[in-house]
Amino acid sequence: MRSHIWHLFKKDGLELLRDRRTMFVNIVLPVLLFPLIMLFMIQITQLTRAQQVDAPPVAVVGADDLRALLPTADQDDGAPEDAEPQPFAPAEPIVAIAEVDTEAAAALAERARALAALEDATAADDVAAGRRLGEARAELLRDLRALKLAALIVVDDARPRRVAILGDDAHPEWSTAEGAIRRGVERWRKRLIDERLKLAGLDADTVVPLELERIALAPRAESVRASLAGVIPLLLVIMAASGAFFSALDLIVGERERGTLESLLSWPVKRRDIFLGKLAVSCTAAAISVVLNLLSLGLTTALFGSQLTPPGVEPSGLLAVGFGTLLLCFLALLPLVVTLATVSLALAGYAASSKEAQNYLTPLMLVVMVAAGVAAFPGTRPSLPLDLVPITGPMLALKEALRAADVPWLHLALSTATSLALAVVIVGWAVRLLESEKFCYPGLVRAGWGRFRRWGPPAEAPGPIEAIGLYAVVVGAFTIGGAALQRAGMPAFTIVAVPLIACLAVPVLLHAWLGAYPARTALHCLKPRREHLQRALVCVPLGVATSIGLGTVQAPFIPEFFMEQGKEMERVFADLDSLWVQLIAIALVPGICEELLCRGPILSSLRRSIGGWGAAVLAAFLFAVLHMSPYRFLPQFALGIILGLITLRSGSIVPAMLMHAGHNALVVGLGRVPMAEPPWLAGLAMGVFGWLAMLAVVALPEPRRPRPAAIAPPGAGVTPGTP
Amino acid sequence: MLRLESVRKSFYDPGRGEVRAVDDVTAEFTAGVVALVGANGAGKSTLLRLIATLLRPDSGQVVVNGYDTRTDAGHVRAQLGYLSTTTRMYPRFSGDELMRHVGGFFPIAADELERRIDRMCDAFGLHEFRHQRIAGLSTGQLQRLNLARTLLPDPNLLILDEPTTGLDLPSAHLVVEAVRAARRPERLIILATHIMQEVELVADRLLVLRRGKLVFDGPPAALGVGPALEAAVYGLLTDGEAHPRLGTIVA
Repeated sequence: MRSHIWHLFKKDGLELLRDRRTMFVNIVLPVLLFPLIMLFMIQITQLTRAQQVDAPPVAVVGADDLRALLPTADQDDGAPEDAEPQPFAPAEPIVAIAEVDTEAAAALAERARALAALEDATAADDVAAGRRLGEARAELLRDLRALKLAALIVVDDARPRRVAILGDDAHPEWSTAEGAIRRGVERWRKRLIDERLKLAGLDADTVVPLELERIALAPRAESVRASLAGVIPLLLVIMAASGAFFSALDLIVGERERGTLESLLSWPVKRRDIFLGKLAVSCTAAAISVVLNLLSLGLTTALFGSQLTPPGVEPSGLLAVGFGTLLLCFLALLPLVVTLATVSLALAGYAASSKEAQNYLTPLMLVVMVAAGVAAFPGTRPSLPLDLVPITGPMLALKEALRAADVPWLHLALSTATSLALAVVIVGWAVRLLESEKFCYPGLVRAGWGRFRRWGPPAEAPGPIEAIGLYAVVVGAFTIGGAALQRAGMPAFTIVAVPLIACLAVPVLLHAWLGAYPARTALHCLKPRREHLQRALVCVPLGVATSIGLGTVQAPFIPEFFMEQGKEMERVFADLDSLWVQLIAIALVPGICEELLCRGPILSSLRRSIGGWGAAVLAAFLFAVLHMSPYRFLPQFALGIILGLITLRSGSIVPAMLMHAGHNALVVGLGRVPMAEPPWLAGLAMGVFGWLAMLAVVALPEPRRPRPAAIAPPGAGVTPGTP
Repeated sequence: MLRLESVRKSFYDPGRGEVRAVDDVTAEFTAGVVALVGANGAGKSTLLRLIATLLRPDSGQVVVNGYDTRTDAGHVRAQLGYLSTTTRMYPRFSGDELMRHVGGFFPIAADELERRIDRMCDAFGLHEFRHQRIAGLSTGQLQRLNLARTLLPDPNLLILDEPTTGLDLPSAHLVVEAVRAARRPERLIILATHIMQEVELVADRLLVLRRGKLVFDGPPAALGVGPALEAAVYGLLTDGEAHPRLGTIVA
């Protein structure tokens, strides 16, 4: 098998390398583009600076001192004359003082005073006064525009401490004017302070008793790394995604369109090996794309660093973050590269043509960019729930690794595990896709979906992507529905039970009906055998012990916020009227509805693509995520695995429903008895032994059943009176 | 060697609805050359793809040397050589690289693979272009190379779907000669074709498909020789349906 994957890797890699046009457009061109874009930007900036832009005109009324201090083109602003102009350095803002005749100045000052008085007098809820205020503003703006002014600075004799800047903030040079006015006002204030201190016989230290001095201790590489922490992961993921996408198109759709796929599929090589060989090539192409792009970007920013930074600041480029950091980024990105390459290959395999594949890949690229872009926002930090979000989780973990002195190993590990788990699911789906006829002849055998199917037998169960899509929709509806009912102040029973029924069970049943999936195979709706029901009942107390034990084990690691969230939920449960209502809302309804989703379409679809154990574990993971409560995650995950295994063992969902409902009912019962939490080690032992005991109960061999008797001759072998 | 049991396969056509491409075909084959004849759209390629494990029957069974194509596709592919009208080769490879690539999927030792490649190059006259890129080869050269790579793993079941389509006379002749030369006591060759001369030259047995159904299964000589065979097969394919009156268009 391994030799076939390697053989395919060599063949596909060689083919891709020989496709020089694609290689050039997708790998070499982006590498060349960075220096070219940088050169272009520098040229544009220099050309822009060379253009003479008129300083925005402003008028000053009642403050001759300020008029002299405003920065203008004629003034020496302290910048050395021989200083080399920097392309990206911001120009110092200046204004042009407009000369307004005395009469007009008096009229403007009067209007400004009237406006100021209206502003002070108008209450927020006085509609008529508000309208008058709006009219006064519009009138003054008309005057400003008639005089072609960006701003009017008014200092009223009656209020000499107030400098009013009445600005046309839609003026194209408004920000420059505002900046220059602020500088002028600051100079004026400083001069007034100095004069008054001199009059009082005091020096400047009297009003400035403290001075703040900043001494940066971090090495240059670390400070650059921290400042680029949001941008680097985003750049990396975009490079990886584009590298994976173009190779996926060529490797799958290209092979089909060149007419070579039919031969490949007729050779004795497993579909899984074909996919894995192509996946290895796609991952390698994405990794090479990332490395080359990083090198190009690093060298470009290093070469043009001095042009990029303002004067007086040490030049820096991407390479200043250090080789070790870039290597860490690259290694942290690898699982994500595998996920991206897997998704791209799978979608390319699903498409009937390269055009259709591009239709799928374009929105996927958008999703990738949005998911990665979220991590680039300032203030976003990794957290345990976010670690479970594909792309965003690894990006946030990587950003934190670049920002913080300590590498967040837990977040990196969890987000990497999520990426790889997603990749495994998609590989399973893609291999199943390769096994199907529509991979080789997509247009020929496409038959439609479910009740809209045009011909042929219905599918036994949904595909994993379809099932996970269903999961995402119902969990979204469940979360929003639950929150809406809580906000609406509904009774506790409605808050707990209605979202489970309306948002989980009903959509699952509707999906199965629309998809025309047989209930037996897709939902495991089968009459259970008595011994499986007995096993489920035996597992109930063991499950409660496991839950209590594992809950104790994970409690010290859960942030207080989530523990509070848990207590909030317990308060809702406590509002339920009686024990019977509690049993229905907390035990019976979740036992049926949650199992219908997690051990129904989710388990049946995953089992067909990644096998029994993998399906049980992944369905349990999704089951634990469904509850949106990290403080219960571990117990629910452990319990979910057993619920999955008992469903697979019995072929029926009923034992899992019985065990789930029984477990919750026992927890409700125990909640009425005051109990001390076990110590941590005892909790660990209780959790592990409880879980292993459940596993043993589920895995116990089936009791031997008597073989059906051979067809006996009429009248023979039947003893009267026997049942 | 090969057993078809009530094999059915349908497709959906937006214009015609469900189309039964192969409809309840039952036959058993031992070694030899079998010619498969049918009009365009009669289901020949579908039947061959079903045997080659590329499609799965909606119902019925296809069994190759005891292996079901549904459940033991890997075993079937290990003894299969498949060449169809839609089969292309990797244009960025040379002929030599292609044969090495194909050989890599079969359990053939490296020195044995070298010997077989040389033998194929001798047999099909590939030496002059074996190191050239496939993209630059002519149609005849391509088909010779295609036959060479199909025969390279020495398959027990050789499926050739219209291998002479689009070839000039010498190339078509070479292909027919190759089929005759590929005969072996334990090998079954299925050749789909529209040319009755090829049938007469190579086939021990003739199958005629009409609208997915097997309408004739027997030795070609049973239908006649030369023009008689062609007329008989024409009759089976059209089932007495009148041909459009092309004469009226010409007039």
